[in-house]
Amino acid sequence: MTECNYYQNLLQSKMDEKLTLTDQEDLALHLEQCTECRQMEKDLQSLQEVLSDWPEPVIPADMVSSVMDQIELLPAPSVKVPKWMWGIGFAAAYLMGALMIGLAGYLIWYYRPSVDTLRGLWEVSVIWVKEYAIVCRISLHDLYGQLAQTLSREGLYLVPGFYLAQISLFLFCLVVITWRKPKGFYLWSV
Amino acid sequence: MNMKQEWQTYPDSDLVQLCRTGNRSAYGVLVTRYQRPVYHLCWRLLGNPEDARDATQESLVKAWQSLHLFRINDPFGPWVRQITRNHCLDRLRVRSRQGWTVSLTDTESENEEMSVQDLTPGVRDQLMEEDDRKYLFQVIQNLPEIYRIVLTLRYLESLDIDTMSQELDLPKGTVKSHLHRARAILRTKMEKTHDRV
Repeated sequence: MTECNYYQNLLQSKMDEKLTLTDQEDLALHLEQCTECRQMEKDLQSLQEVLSDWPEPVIPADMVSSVMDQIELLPAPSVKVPKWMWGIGFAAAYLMGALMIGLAGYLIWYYRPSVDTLRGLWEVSVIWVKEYAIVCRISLHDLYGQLAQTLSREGLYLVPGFYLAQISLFLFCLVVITWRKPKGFYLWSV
Repeated sequence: MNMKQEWQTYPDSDLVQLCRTGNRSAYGVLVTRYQRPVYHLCWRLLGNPEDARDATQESLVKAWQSLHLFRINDPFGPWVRQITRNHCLDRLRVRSRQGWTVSLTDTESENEEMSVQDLTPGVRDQLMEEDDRKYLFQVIQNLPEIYRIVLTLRYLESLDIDTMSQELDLPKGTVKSHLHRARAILRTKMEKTHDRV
């Protein structure tokens, strides 16, 4: 009986995993001699067959709608980038930035002008600025003079006054409307 | 043919892509497609239709929330089954609180000698009229929890001993021993049924 227990255990193991060659031979030899173990092998095989085809239960009719009701309340499953990928991306960006700055620095240093050239450039720039300022002042002076002469000649002193009155009226309306905040004001103002 | 009807013919990967753009109706098609195997697995693992119903809904919602982790070239069925299996095993762990072994020890003695007489009268009468196969699966549903789980994982999910050992967090020897005992019980039940008939 102890011997049969051993082989029946082997029979069970045979259903779940591959037996060693020695075990297979031992088992075959035992099965030839033992009726009880042969019967057990037959039973286990038929059990195996039955268990390979499980009857399916009836699904509740509202299963899909119940699941979908819950899904409606949840956010969409977007593809998330893992944190480590963000880390790699930032590291690469920083590295590239550092390389570009380094390269620019190197080029600036390599092609730097001499001190004399810089001094010359500074002096030229100062002269340019001074000249430009003088030119602007003269132009403005001329423009003002021309405008004054034209207005007095044509009698159009009222024109600037008219524009000033129009702008004041507009600002007054804006202040009043903003203060009262009528419905749809913001839409209207847009 | 409207859009939803057209989706019925789409492969799973295309539907998953649609889901990732926020299209919930596409997920509805996937749910319709996989509700049957998912519910079946839940029912076999958890042992009753009420828990199975809840677990199926929770698993499918979990799958929606994890869709961004799904690798588009993999098959969707095994992936959703894996989620379901893990979810059911978590539920069972919570249910048994102290792990499988304790749960087994608690129920083993009273269930080891369970017979047709231990079933509820309605079920018993019904079983007497039904064939052996249905009876066998009824017996499986009434087995101690750990036996039912190992049988389900081995035969419904076709997992090997190594994978079962990992998923159940039990040594391989223990898993094998549970399987042997579960089959021995089933074999005894079948013999008894034949004797009664």
